[in-house]
Amino acid sequence: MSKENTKVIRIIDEIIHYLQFMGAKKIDLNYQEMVDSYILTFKCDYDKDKMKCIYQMVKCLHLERQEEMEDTFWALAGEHVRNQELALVGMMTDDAKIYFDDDRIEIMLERVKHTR
Amino acid sequence: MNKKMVFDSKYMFGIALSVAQILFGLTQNSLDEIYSGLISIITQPSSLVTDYIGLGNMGAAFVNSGLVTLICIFMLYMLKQSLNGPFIAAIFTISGFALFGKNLFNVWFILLGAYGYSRFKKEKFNKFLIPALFGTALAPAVSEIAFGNSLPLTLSLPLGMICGILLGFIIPPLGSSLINVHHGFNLYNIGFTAGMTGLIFVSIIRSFGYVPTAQFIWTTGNNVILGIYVFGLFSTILIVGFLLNGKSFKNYKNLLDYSGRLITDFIQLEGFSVSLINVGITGIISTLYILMINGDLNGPTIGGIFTIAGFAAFGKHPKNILPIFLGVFIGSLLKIFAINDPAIQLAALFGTALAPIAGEYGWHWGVVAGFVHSSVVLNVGYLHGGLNLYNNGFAAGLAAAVLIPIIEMFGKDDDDR
Repeated sequence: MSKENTKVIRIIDEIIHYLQFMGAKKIDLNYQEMVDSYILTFKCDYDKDKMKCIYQMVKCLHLERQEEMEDTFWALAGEHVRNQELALVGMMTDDAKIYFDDDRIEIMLERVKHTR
Repeated sequence: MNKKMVFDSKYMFGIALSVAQILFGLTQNSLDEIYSGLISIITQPSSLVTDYIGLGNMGAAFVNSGLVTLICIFMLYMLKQSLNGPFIAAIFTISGFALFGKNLFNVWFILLGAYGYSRFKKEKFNKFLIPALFGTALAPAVSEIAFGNSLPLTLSLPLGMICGILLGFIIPPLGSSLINVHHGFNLYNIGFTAGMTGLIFVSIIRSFGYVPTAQFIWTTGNNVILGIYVFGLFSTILIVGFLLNGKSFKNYKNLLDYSGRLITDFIQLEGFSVSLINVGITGIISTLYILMINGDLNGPTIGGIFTIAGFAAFGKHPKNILPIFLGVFIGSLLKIFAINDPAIQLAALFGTALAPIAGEYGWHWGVVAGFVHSSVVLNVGYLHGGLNLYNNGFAAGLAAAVLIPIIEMFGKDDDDR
């Protein structure tokens, strides 16, 4: 498996893990590999008591893509059972759109493919 | 990556730090003394523990620190690298370790090796800057091979340079590979990587009959002058942060709520001014700790204080470092060493690499981590022959690798996070 694919899987792992923590019982994941990018869309329910976590997620996922951080630390994403690396996911993705209402969250992430 | 022009207040801060080091150095000795001190520093082995204040003189040590840091900042600027948390940590770490191991000669070969790796992979050097900068922990290997043996200089000098380049070449891939060993709970990941690399390197050279030079140069008696300088420096940083933050400590409480586990970039998460406040406060606390235990302010301990302060932009804060200090302190009461033995002073300062354990699992586990670390660190230096300057980062990685699964065994359920 290419390192690029592994990184995308780690991103998915990290997001699913966080959504589970937020009380999601049903998560729909849409994975699309385009010519020059990956588009990941997650749709799920959540526990309203965890509303505060959404704001933390928005803050982390909106961090700028940082390849210098990614190359050193990417292996931490989706790795640990208790901790979150959402900030790292933010640094590994180029665009993040997050919509939520009282019942559901939708997250769209775009990761432009490896650049040299 | 959205590359903007990067010269901003963070660059000015880095330059100001370098200039402060140089100016302080210039006030301590004459130019002739500084010059001869620099020659001594550059042309002798620098393995742990080589306090450049003792090997050269105070002026030369600080001028060396300022110049090495300034050149690194210039390199970052030329590469248009924006200075986020790990780079501020790297700048402080290089500045601190340039008082006891990194110098104007030995660091560049490691960086050159990492640059070679980026060319080999046909990727931008920026991607490997973090392991490259922290990888200069292995710079003493260059000095050791070049100046620490009886070979003619015409042979030993190029040999040392080649060794440095090779070590720099392998650090980036190893750094990202070994990070999962400690689950991101050792902030000095490259210290752990350099320790493992140093272990292999020293094993090989020992098998050829080569014994690395044993060094222990540790100065004392400079607490007043160095205390004034270090307190002045961190007080200024604290005041600047306070002023830039709208003359307030606003959002500082948010920063204290982070566990600090890799990667927690305070600059991006809470802003540069709040991070500066944290740098100032942690620097002052660390200096106070050394003075309260009747320790010595010198090259190595100021290196430790600078490293804590740098990582105050990338994971450390008072709430997660104090339990580590306490753990080392309790250890000194029960174990066979004194709290102000040189190795234990360094163990407390650099043991804060494990601060995320306190941040994530609670202060009591931080105390346990400090207690365990202060023993582990005394037994690993031999493995890399003192050629890895981040000996504590190596020990902290080993301690975290063992402690985390044990702590998890007693841990809370996921839902309690």
